[in-house]
Amino acid sequence: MSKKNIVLKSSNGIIFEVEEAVALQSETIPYMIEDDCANDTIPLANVTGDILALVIEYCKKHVVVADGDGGGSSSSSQEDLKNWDAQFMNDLDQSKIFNLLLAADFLNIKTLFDLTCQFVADTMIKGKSVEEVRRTLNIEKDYTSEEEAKARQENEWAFK
Amino acid sequence: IDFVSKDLISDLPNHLISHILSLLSTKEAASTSVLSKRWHFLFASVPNFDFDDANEETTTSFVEFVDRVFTLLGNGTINKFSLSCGDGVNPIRISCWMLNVLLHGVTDLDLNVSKLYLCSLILRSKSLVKLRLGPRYGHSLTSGMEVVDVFLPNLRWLFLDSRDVGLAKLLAGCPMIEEITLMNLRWGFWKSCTVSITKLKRQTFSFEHIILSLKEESFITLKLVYVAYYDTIADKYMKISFDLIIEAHISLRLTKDVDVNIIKSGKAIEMVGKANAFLRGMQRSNTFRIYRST
Repeated sequence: MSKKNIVLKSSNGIIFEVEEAVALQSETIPYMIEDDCANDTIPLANVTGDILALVIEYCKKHVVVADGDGGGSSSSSQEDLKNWDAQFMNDLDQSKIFNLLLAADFLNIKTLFDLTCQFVADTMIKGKSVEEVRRTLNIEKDYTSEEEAKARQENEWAFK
Repeated sequence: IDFVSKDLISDLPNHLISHILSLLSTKEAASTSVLSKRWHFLFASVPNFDFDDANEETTTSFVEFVDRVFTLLGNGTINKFSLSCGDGVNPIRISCWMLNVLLHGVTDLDLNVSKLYLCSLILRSKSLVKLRLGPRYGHSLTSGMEVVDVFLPNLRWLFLDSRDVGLAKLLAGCPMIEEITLMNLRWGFWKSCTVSITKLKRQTFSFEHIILSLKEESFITLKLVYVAYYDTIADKYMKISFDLIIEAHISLRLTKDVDVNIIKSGKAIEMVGKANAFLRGMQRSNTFRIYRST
């Protein structure tokens, strides 16, 4: 089976050449290939080079090996992947995380999208007080004290 | 970029924030409404809701909160809706919520309430794929009326603990059902019927009552890989043909009114004979576990 390569170009002009199976984890890229069949390079106007590098790192790790007897990955390698995912997310700062989320959404890579959203929900919001969430996410309170009290009153049950 | 002090999440498009909020419990998502004005209504734009009132006596703040979510919802769709609350919520109020949820095309509904008036409406939903209806505590769910029609054309998974609906009606109305668990079902509604369900894979029945004379022509064909059947021994069993059963758990109890004396006097042997007649219908099973308790 011959391996085809696909060339991706980030918004700031950085070129990445990846195997087709890696790139096709994105459900958006096949459409771009169809639309732009004459040209070999696929321009990704919404994704910068550093984020695209992360996306490709993730996709390379998660590429499903199609050869062999077609069996799925064993449970131990599933476990390895989970650990790898956790480490991958842990190493990123907030700016990278949210840009990665935007890229995963744009490129339609479902597993990366789910991973990023779950990480944000679990590590930045879940189990935290309103004040802690504001501090973690740098959200500026633009309510007056009265407005905030009213907002709290509206959903009183949620604060019990 | 000074990422340390910048609010990046609030710049995300709404659908992404909603997706993140949908991964939290509804209660936790709602607490984000006071973060800033940007977040005020976002928690209600998610497709999944779970309202679980931990209090035994339901407070008005819970009812107001559920009402408020429905008013904020607009035309959004609901995929999953789960509600668990105590006796404090008026069943009519729950009916209003259910009407709303059904109008929003809910596919996965999980209700743990003590009384429900709209059982028959829920059991005619075209959108439902997964349904769990049962009591929050103790006794099985009642609506006070018998369910007349069941039509759940897309339902794949069902858990029902209610005395309002008969088995035949239920199975006939769920052509796509794959897994079914029925608790405290009333045999009484099963008179005579032929049911053929081809997709059913897993089934658990638990019957509270026994009916002493099931009509003999009652007949059922099920293609199952798993069946669990818990019941007291009936006087007579219908013809049952279970094809393709791979695993079966069967627990047959003696009836309460069969007291110790009767058991000693040989009635028990007769009962066991009847149970054997039932079990013969299942001869083709590969795995068989039989539990006996008195």
